[in-house]
Amino acid sequence: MKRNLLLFCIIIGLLLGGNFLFPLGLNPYFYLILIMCGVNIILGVSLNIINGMAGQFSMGHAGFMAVGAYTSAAVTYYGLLPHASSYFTQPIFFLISVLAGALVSALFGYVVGLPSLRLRGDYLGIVTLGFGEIIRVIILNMNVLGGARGFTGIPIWSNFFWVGFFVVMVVMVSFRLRNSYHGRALFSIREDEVASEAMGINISGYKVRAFVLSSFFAGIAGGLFAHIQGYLDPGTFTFLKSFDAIIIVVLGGMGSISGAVVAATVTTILLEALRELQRFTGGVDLRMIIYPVVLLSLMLARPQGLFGNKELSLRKKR
Amino acid sequence: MEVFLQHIINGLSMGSVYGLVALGYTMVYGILKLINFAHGDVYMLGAYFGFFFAHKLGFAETPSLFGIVVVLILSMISCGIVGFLIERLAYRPLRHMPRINLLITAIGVSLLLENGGQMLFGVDPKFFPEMIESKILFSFGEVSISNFQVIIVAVSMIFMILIQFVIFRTRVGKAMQAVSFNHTYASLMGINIDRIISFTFVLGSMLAAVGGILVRLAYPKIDPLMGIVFGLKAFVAAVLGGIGNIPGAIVGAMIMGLSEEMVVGYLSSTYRDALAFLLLILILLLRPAGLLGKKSAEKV
Amino acid sequence: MSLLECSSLSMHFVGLVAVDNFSLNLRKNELVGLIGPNGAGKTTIFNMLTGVYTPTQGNALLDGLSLNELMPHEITRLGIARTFQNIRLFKDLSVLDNVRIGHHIHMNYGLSAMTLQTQHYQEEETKIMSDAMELLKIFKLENQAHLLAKHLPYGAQRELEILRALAVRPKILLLDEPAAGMNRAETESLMHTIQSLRKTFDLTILLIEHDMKLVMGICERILVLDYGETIAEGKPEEIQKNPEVIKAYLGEVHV
Repeated sequence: MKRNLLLFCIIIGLLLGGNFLFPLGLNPYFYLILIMCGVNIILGVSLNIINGMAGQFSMGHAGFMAVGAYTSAAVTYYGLLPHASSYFTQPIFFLISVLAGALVSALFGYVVGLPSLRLRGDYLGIVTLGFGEIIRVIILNMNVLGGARGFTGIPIWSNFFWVGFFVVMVVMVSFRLRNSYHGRALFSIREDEVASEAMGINISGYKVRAFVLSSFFAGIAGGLFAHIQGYLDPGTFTFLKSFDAIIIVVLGGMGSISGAVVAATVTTILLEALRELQRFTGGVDLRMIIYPVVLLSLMLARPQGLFGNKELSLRKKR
Repeated sequence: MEVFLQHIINGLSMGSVYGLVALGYTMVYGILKLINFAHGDVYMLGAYFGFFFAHKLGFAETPSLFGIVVVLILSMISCGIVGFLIERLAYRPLRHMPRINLLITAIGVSLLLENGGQMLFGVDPKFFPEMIESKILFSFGEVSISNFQVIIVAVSMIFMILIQFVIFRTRVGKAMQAVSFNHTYASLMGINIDRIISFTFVLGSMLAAVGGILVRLAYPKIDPLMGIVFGLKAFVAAVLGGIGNIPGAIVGAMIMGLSEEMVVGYLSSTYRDALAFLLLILILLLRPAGLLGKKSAEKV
Repeated sequence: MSLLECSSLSMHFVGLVAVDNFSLNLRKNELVGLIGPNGAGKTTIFNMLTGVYTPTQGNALLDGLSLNELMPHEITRLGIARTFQNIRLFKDLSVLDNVRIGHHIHMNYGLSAMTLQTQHYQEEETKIMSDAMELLKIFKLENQAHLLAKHLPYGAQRELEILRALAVRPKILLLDEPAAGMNRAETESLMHTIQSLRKTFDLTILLIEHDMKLVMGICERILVLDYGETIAEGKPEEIQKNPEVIKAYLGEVHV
């Protein structure tokens, strides 16, 4: 316990320090990329839980992120903003807002997780894709959330500290999950459901729980995302966004948390770099070509991604 | 009542084209257990190939029955080649990998075709040249059947019957069925798996090309992303009937076409595309094997 | 007092009767063999006992509790563990992880304990780690603990499956062709191991096998199945002389 507390304090300290220094040292554009890296890390690591660890192919992850983003934005805009926020209350408000988004997203994860119990592989992918689309369309038609014009007026509360804080939390929980019997249960489901059940594992229960945890984290990513630029554009959360997450997980190696972290960072930075190039291609979103080419090359040349099933480890194997 | 009949006619007409494309999905799923996401985009390519040939060969300016037949055949050949290449380059190397990898690859190919299409053809829609004049052939009261609809249904039916003939009455077709049951045993019987799989892809792609051109009679607008929605509906049709099941694909397609027509006619056209997703989710939750499909159990 | 009581267990598939009227009273610590030609229904019986199939007829009682409507993971918790005819290891997981997954039903720390890595978490993890290593020593696999299961040689994979089932600490262990693919020496060694495991872990064992030396060597009682029906039951010496059994395996009795 003491060790945990000490670790916690050190991390908070580092994050606060970084929060003070980074905006001074980096120009706003790079600062923004840094924050986006963080959000994408959380998104990738969250998808890794359901796709990489439990082996359930979920293709509608953007939907969970969208739920988290819009819920959080609504809580902030309608619930918290009207109450004057001071230097002290703002962090608390933000925490409440992000967690609210995460909780609602987790609820959706439960709803999607239940039917998933009866579906395998390709079918599960299609149905989750469908759910992602349905969520997006519903949000598009809700005027209280801005409808097609988008949700504006969200205060810019996401900064290095908060994004970093949640990145640390999500990555830490994921690692601890991996090193626990719950994590091993998820892996066993991925490997062989029949054998897993025979070893006493309630595979239905675990699949649903994996969906819930995964979407909870995706909701956090969404909540943070909503407060980065102050507005939400419904066009952000299409299937392409789900694909962003899938690419991260596949590139990093299905099941590898550190793989997802590295891959998220790499893809975020590369994509931004490519965005500049777009000026020369006449505006066609290069992502659309790069993604499939990268995916196909990966699948053909190195399907296990960067790290396969392994992790970057600082200590001896447990 | 007469409006209802009109809807039925319209629905059957669209249904038969869904059937052509659904057959492609179902055949490929049958032999590879893969949902070929790129199939809808082959349909799109069929339309674009048709557009290209029509203009290049001058049939756009001087429309004729001969012209459209030539365009159709050329488009079928081109799509057959595309289908062959997709299988050969993207799917065959991964055949022994976990299904998830294949699924991701299929999505990748689909995206590539769509966005490559956008880059090559431009994002703006084009219009397929009118090769046949629209005429009302029959009409009784409020109900009318246009020559387009007759052609669509007739041509679709011809191809569907042809395919059924190939699959159920020829040696190649028997080989296809064998491969769909079990690759190892089929190859032990002397069947060249690679060739049969390629053949299946070529067949399916050719059918998609026919669909791509037939639909142009009624809906001349083409754009690089049109394969997504159409492909989805054809896919749902295949699943409805039982994916992997040939007659099922046709049954499912008719249901898809009819229900879509009914929803547009009696509810509202905004729900048209959502219907496909709804049907899909319903069938997967209630009867995942599809209407004509068999439940298969895993041997423990 | 029987530990496992099967009465008239039957499994009817559409168009096929896989098992017909199977009855067995398994007493504690017995080592019983289930033999018969391929397709006789032996693995189907295992599948019924572990909840993979629901019997179309008949009943299976474990300590008086009916297993029929239970899910596989519930049955495991009640004390039945198995190995599989076609090895079903967790291939991309390590040897050690495979065994530790067998420990699943003995673990009970929750999400918060896991996240904070509390005392409780550490104690339990340490306990199963050492138990897993002890189990691996039985088949001398302790040095391959971190190897991926798929990289083990075939015989070692079969052994690992047994260890994984042992981690469950079951009352009844169902072994499905544990000696498949093993040579004479390995089979002999396995025979000794199974008998000593029965003593060490206080097991009751039901065993499917084709290797007659193993079956006749260690089983106290044998049931013979053919086309789903039990055609003979008795001690090894009796079974070996039973003409029905000989006919089932070899066809006509040659005089």
